[in-house]
Amino acid sequence: METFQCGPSGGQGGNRFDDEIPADGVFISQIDVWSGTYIDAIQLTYSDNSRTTKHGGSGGSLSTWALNAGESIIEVYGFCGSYVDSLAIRTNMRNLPTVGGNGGSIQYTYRVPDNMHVIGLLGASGSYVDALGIFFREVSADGTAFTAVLRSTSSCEFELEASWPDDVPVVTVYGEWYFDGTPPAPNGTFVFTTQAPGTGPNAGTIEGNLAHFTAGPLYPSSTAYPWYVLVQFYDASGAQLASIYSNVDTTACANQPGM
Amino acid sequence: METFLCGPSGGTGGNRFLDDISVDLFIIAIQVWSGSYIDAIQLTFDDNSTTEKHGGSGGSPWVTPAFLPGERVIELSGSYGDYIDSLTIRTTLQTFPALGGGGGSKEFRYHIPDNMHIAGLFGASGSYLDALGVFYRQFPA
Repeated sequence: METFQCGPSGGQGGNRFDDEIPADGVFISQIDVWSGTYIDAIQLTYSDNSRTTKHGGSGGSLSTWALNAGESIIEVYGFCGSYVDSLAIRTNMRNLPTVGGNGGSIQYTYRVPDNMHVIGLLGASGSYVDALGIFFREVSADGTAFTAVLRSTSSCEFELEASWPDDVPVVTVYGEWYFDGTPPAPNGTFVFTTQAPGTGPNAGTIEGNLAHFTAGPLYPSSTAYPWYVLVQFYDASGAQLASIYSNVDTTACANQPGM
Repeated sequence: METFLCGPSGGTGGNRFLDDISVDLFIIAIQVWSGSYIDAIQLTFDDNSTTEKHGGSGGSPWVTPAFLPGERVIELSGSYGDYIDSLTIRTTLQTFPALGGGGGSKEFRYHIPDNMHIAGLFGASGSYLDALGVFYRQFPA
């Protein structure tokens, strides 16, 4: 899958960096930015748990954003001068808060088309992030058009909705539910598997390109625990088409009474 | 027609400019004035309208041959420091020789998908072209 690029914007200092672009199917799962008066440093984590180099210096306070399943970066913008002064990131689901300082006379914007997403960064860095630009490619290269959203109610009933692109022949979807841990599996405690379409208490339904599961009610708890689901999509021949994690839902529910 | 943008790269001087891209036109030629730096740049569209000349009065003029039907600008690259020092233009059919000087400690590259086109420019200019970014969108409209 071809990768495209834009930029960078910023000052003339620092040493050039170009993130190594991950293989198709791997996407950004977490963004770490250190900032104060300027953007001190930035580092990306990918869905295969690889990380880029931390671009920048040792200062600044850390902001961490985990991206949800199906969430992609579509815009990076802010102000710059001799350094990158401020940075804001927009995804297909939300605007992340602006970080950095109030300086910089130049407004920069990196906005990619709707079917594409940012897959890496380029620019220059030293004690700070001196300059910043982007690498981008089609979302369909990266399986993020498969989505899985987990929600819980106050009575500890859980709902999971998984979707896939219109042109992908998914016929069966499995969800492996994990409690008291965060991805990747098998972190936490495996609780049960749900199947759509299926029968029985943990069965789900499929309508169009959307699978819907309910589970529970599980057990109200005095402590909040993280829950997540590993969702696997299969075609009619039994071949796995995609495997993604839902968001982590941290809620006061346990997998057994009395916790 | 949704338009996307990237940039700019360059120095902090000059006055901000934004090409008018409200009408869905295609670039059919690019004129560049250059010497030690990129002095100025101006676009010609398929209705024969032109943008303002962004930059100063110096430099040697050069113009791309008129683009062929369907040919479109998909990459601008070069180097910058306080100004845009050098510029290379690439279309879906050809890459033109680098223009400008050998200075500029930083490299920039705006490379967009083949099914899109660079539809206009933004950045800053004064006596020279200080900074450069791109508007881009789907081709054909």
